[in-house]
Amino acid sequence: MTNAFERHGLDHLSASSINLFVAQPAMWAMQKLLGHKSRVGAAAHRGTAVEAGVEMGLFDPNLPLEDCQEAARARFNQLTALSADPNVEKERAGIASAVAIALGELRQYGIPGSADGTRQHRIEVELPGVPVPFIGWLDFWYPDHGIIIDLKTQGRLSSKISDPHARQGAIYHAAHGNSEIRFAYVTPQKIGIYRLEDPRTHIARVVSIARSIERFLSLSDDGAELTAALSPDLDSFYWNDPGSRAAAEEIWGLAPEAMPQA
Amino acid sequence: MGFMSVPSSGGDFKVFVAYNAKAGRWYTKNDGKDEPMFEVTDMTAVFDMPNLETGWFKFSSGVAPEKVMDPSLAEAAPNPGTDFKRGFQIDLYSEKNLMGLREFSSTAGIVIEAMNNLYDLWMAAPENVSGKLPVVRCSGVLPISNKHGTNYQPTFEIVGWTDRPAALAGSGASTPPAAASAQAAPQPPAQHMPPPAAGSAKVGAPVF
Repeated sequence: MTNAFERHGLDHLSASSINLFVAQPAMWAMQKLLGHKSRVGAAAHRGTAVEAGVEMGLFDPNLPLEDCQEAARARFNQLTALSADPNVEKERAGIASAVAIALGELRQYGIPGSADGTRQHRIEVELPGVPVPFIGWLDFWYPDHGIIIDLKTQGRLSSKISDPHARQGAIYHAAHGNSEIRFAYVTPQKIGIYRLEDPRTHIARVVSIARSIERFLSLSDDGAELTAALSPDLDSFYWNDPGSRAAAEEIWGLAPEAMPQA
Repeated sequence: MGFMSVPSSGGDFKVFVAYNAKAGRWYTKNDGKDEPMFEVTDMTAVFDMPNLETGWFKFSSGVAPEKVMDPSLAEAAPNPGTDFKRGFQIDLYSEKNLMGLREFSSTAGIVIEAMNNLYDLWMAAPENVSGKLPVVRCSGVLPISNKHGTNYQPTFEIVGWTDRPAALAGSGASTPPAAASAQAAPQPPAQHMPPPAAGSAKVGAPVF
């Protein structure tokens, strides 16, 4: 007999998936059960772009900073070429300095490990009580130091690791139990690198969320019925993407004039 | 008076200190029903920065403000509805200037900006990691003219550091952890981790 995940075509979970389920269950259902994808905004593209520049500079420590910054900007331009997000220019403005600050700190760790020609490491881990594995990708793994670093870009520096990030780190730790998990929060002005304390506490929460998802999926084999049983929080930034809002209208039958504007 | 209504006393609400941006002045009151507001002439107090909270606030005349606080500074709570605005709240303490513990909250952009600047000062200060709390003074106000007319932005400076006062006990880095779960307890700021020294041994330790 297949488990509830498999009956809905879900063969794995991820940190982003369980965190989305916690934050916006209606969007989770729309994406995972009905296959509607959401476009992300300029802030998310900034993160991808900064990471590209930082990765380039870490794996080639002699590469001039300007080349890494240019690569990051180019990646951002590529990702936002068709974006209507009004924050594109604001996000673009902070990319170069974020790359410089991140490299200034992270180059001191040395060159990250690589495997099979890929710079990001795929992890897959099974957690007790969860019938499908968790899959993810490590940003920077330093096997010589026993440290895994996940890079997060921000507008303002966090003073601590957020709960969703802690859950992500706990999954990484479960996959690489001998490694310490650190989150590098970088802004255009500063960087803070924080160690994940007590991953066991957070992995318990990960399992709890996964079981909640499983119970939810067990209520019906009809993904559309499950999705319709939820209601989207359209005021949230998660729903800023016009495509997602249009999909919400299709699914939940919301009249356009009744939908709040982002 | 000010931008928020007087919370009822004797309940779960703390007495507040309010900043009137139109006047550039601070006000508070004594604890107790129908106590009058009075101006705080020397706004110097201990700011409980480790427990600064952000969230959604709805200030309505005559009733206590409605609040939905964020799970953390890095994670915004969902917008609870119309008329809610983004803001912050923080506990302040000064027996001399504020008559004790006071709660300060605001959704005004110029006040949030001032607090952001103070937050950066606090984060950058080496004393931050010691567990001591900053003694903060509003050293002046800055006129800001825009479509809302002229408002006055407070200017904060850190003038000292002190151990956590007993009135601010129950949270923060220098307070012994309570029996509450780690999930529920307010978390102090994390400490920046330096890079490992060259040739150092592995730092990770097995947990599972």
